[in-house]
Amino acid sequence: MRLPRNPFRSTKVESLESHDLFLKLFQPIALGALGLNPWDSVMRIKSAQGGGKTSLLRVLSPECLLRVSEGTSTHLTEIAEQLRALGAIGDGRPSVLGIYVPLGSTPYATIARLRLESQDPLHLLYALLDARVVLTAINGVQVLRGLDSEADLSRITFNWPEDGPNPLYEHATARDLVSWARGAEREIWRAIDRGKASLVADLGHARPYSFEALSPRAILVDGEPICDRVVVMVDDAHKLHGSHRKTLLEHVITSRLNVSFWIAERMHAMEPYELLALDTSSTEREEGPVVLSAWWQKHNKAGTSRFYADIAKRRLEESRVEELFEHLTPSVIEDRPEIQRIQRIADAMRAHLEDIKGKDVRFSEIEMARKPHQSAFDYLVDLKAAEMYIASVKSKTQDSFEFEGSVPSPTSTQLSDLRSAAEYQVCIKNDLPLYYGANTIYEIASWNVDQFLSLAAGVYDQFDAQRVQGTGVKVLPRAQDKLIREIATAYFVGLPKRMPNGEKMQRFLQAFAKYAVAESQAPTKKYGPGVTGFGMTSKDHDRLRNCSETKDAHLMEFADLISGAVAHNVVFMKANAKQGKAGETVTVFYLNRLLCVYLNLPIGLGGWWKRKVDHFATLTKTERHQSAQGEDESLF
Amino acid sequence: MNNWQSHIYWSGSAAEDMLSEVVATGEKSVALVIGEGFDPRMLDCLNVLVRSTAELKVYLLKIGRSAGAEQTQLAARAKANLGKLVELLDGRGTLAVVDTQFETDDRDSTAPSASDKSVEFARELPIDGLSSLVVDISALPQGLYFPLLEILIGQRRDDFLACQTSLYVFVSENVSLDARISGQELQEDAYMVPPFRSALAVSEDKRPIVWFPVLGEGEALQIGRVEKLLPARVEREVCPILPMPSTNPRRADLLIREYETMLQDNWALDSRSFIYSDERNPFHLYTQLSRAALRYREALSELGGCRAVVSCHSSKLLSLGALLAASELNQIEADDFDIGLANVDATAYRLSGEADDWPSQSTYFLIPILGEVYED
Repeated sequence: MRLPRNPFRSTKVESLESHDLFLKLFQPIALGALGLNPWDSVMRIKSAQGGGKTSLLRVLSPECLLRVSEGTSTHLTEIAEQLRALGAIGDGRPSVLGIYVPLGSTPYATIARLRLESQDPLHLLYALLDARVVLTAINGVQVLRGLDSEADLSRITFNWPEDGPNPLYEHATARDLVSWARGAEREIWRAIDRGKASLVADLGHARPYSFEALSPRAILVDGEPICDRVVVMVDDAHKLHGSHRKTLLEHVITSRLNVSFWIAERMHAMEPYELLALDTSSTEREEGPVVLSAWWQKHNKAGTSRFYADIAKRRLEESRVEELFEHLTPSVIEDRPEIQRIQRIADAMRAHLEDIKGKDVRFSEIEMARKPHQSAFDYLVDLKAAEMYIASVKSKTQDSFEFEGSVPSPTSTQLSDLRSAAEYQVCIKNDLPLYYGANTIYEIASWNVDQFLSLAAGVYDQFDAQRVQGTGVKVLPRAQDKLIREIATAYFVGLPKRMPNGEKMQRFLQAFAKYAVAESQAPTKKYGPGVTGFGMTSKDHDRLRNCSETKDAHLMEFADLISGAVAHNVVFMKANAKQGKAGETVTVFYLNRLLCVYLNLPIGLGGWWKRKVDHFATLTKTERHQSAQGEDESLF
Repeated sequence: MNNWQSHIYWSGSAAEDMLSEVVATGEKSVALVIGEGFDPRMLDCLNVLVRSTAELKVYLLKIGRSAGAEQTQLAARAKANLGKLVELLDGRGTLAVVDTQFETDDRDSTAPSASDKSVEFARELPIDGLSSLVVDISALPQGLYFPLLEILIGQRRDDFLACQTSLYVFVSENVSLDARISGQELQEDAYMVPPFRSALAVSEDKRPIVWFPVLGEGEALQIGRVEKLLPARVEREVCPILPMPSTNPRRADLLIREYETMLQDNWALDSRSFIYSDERNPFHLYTQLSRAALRYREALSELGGCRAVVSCHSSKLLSLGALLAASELNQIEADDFDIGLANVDATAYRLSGEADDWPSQSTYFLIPILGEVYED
């Protein structure tokens, strides 16, 4: 199977039919999220949609493990190295039987609503889970040992304990067990469809017996054990009914299982208080679930860029195009039509600064630009930085006349901070392209593979169109900027479809933008490159996550809104950050970088809007909000 | 099989006349199932039925909520509709309100509670003593009327026969109003509508899948979600259904253009894969779809048969045709064939434009499904 014409379009890695293609596109670096020892306790993996949890599980499937252990390519060797370190491959062959159980497309939640006479519906769920685990496990054993699908079933036997109270032990052979599992699934689902679930209630299981039965010692092929470990990987657990999900999780945490158990789910399955309690800066398993976006954030920027660049490279290898991101013009100065305009703007800016220096001797010594200039654009940014520096000094000293002599030029740190803000302002105020270049795209992807793919797909289409039309293969900054803004607009407009209370979130973001844009474009810079998040003290954050009908009830609507936004990757939360006063910690909610694009904000993690949580809550309450200071009017 | 090979339906004023003068006459009472909400079409069928002499029993299914800034206006509109309903029924019949509302976790469920509630309602709906049961699907979402109708058609057919009750579906089609109502807060994932759930629920089922998406405008997100619902690593055929003939002769072309990437890149289809169906005749789609599914079953018999999945992204009329085909095929109890209906619902709705400016040009359709019309 091949990827579509545009290799970034639609096809998700985890649903690729070909295991070879899946492995080719898999990023070994992602395995780091599993930690060093994922086997000894129940591991919970959480992410927003497109966070990459399914790919992480699929690589442990027998089909993939076998290919990796036998593979000779550099890429497969790299994956094998990581899997060896994890203990999933040993002696050149898979040492783990991975039982991947996706719950995503099966309507298990309906079971909780069945009206059964005396049986607990949960027992039917356990029977269905057991059936699925058994069928997947036997299939996995066949793959690992290269057995023919039906004929070789008799070579699989079980070393069941003599006296275990486990109904699965009644099936002495693999053929019996498979026959039971197939029959149970078909019979139970048909009965549910026909409204006759009570007739099959006696097929139910009091607990998931397969987690006890399928130990590494119990499964034999030709009388020999086939692996050192068995891991059951339940994916999309959020699809279960809430009560069943909770009970299953309690069971696997409190019971002695003979398998390792991983459970992956989307973050929005969590309650608002759980989501708001997620410390996304913590990715250690002992401290809670593995939150994949947080794990990526912990990696430095270069690591993330490498990751995305590698995804792009591997997908492009499957297409007619060998390289794409190399064709993205990385600097506006290479966009020839813009050069003359930039030069004119810079000349005007220089004249303006000369004028200031001439009138105010305090600034006469300030260096206006670095030497030598790299380009006209860099020169313009330097001039803007100098202007902002002067404005900043002026605003601090105009009343006190603190400086009587010359003001020194900014230090290199000050200059670097100023330049990031200056570049943003120069582009915004002069209608120059702002969002372009491979690194910008990686950053806007906001630690979400789906988001990266949609951005890359847009760029690919543009590149391909230019190539076909013969208008050059270089995608210029203005074209990139336009494209990224279009994708950002579609993301913002689509919020009501993507998340609960999406329209309310849109209004909240517009209210936020009013402050953030004004602050980011102010002549004096406080934060470089600008304001791209909002936050509160940790004390207020505690109030938010613990609000209830009886305590801080007025915060509940905001808690609901923000937890939904965190779950859907619309904002990401950085808790317990040190800031401001000594000992004070804060929680900052940074916007998904695509929203920064839509709101015309910089994409770097810069300043944030600090308010009391009660203020934010007020913003979500009224449709036409007008605060005491008159801000945010007409937005609600 | 071929339950509706011979069929009839009425549209426009003929539908009104049949409803008021034939369906709702006699001594036995008539039951009407409608959806509650801001949609003005919720009262269209009742407005006609009250002209008749029959005693009426109205079942009002509570649906989702409205979303967005117009929420207050739409809630007021829904309340006004309810007031009119009570007024219309005054002295003419009874009203029962049925809770089939979406619940919080429905957005993220492959088994939404709203569909389960609809199934439960259909199983318990008393039909004894009714001359006719009319289901007005004009203001109902697929997540409710698919399970409701399938239980009535597929599992309670004998009850209708025993009680000599007829089943009709009423549709008030209004293209411009449909274009203004948009679903918000879509369910995260598609799901198989009950009672078609067993089609995809069995694991390690390697029978190929034949997917029939009935294409309509602006449904890329929903179609994508249905595609994700289909099991990976199983052979798959896609047969998109296009509206042809249509009131807009270029509609099929425009749809092909709208879904070009999906059709060419993702599914690698050619012109032989398409099925064409009259957009205003549900029985045409019923016939086309049934034939195609059975041909695939036969052609793929060497591979153990197939599983057919139908998803509707177009008008109410076409969705009814798809449901009839699925319902009939669901009666096949064999190891080589299963059929399922996939769906993605919105859990809230939004109306663009002015809430008081309703387009009024609805066309009525009355489609007999079971009972008197089909008796020899």
